[in-house]
Amino acid sequence: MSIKWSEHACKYNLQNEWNDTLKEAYLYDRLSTEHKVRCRLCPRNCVIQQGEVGFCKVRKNINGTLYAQTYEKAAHVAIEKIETEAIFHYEPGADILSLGTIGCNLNCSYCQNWSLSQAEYANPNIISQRTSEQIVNMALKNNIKILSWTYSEPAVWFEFVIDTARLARKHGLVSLFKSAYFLSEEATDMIIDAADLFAVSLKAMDNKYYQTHTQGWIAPVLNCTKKIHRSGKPLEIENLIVTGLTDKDSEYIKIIDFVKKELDESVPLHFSSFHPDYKYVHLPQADSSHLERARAMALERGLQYVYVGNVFENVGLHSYCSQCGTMLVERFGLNSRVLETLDRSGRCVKCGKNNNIKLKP
Amino acid sequence: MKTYQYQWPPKKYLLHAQVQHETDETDGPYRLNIIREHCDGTTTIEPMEIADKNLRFIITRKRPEENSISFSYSEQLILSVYELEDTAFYPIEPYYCG
Ligand code: SF4
Repeated sequence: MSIKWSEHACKYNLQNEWNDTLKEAYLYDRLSTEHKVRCRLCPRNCVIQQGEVGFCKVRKNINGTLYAQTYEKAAHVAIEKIETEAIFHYEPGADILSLGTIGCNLNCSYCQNWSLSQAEYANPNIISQRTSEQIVNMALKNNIKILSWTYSEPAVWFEFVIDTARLARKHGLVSLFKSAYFLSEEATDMIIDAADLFAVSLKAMDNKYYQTHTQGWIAPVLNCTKKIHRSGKPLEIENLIVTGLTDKDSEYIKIIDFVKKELDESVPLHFSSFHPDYKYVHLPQADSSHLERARAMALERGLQYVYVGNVFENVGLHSYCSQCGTMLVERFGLNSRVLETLDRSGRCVKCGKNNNIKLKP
Repeated sequence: MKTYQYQWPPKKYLLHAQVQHETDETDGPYRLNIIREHCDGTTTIEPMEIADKNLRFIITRKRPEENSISFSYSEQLILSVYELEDTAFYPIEPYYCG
């Protein structure tokens, strides 16, 4: 059940109460004037006055030092399936430990997690203190090999993600970073180094759309995405189809062409259905026919792995060999069943094509 | 043991279940059984051991014939069930708690 947003929704304004000096931000400059700082984590480069927070509301200037207020503060902790994150080519069926905090450096008008991403609405009761060690131990105790940094934007607890991912790696765990990737270049470099697999939430291919509906802009998102691709680490792209906004052939083509020309036709692309929330409750859920149409267009234009998302019974959920069309992984709900047509190395048994699907050990 | 049954509505496939120990003094692990009930009357049981004091996890309907899911769990546990409308959604209002 979701809480309905309104102009009068309860605000807790934690950002005013928190004054934590536990973790100094990794990326910022001290400015010479009046204890001001400039945050370098995301392209906003907020200049923050003494006692104030940036746009994301969780990075605070305390006496001329920028502190990450969400360090060790978790708002979401849940064991989920890797398919939850629109990752279909890395260990299908794997359990993940999903982790999120409050705050976001965007403000998408249809955000499903607005009561957490927009920090002023976050209820303090849902926040729990967790150290990196506790998170790694929880994963190990539950036999989970993948930490997933997700939900509201994980970039806003950047320092905690980096520190925990580094510790996790020492224990043989991998980190998945699911983000809108509205990040600075230097933050992108650090996250590429610390994390192991990447899910990009690409809202649209239109700068005006980003400005109007997310309060961000597109260039940094595309730069980050290309950078991740160049790193050679596993990457999948998800595009949320929003009814009346992005459910158009012209929009699908722009995304498809970006993946094909700027990334690679083998990068998995997921078209997911938006559900009405936050300020966009007046729009109906995107119909699966739009997802199916977008998928068909992408396949026709040469993308090899295209999926539908937020629908749970659909032929567009399965993985097929991009050469001979044989089904390799069958999906229902968030369950994946690896078929005998896929060998341990990710090759189609029938035609030998490598479909870049890494299976669980 | 306490029990709770959830009927899958049409077009619903996902739940979050959260189990918490009633007290901080845990001498667990405690038991939780997830029983999947199918329209032909068959069931499958998935036993779990809950060692954490507070554990939240996703449950996904496994096949079209699965029409309900039951939880059978130790008296010392409190179960909260959340309906998920979206894979990126983290609900904070439980559908059931008991
Ligand atoms: S991370 Fe937050 S404080 Fe830093 S530049 Fe972005 S919005 Fe501003």
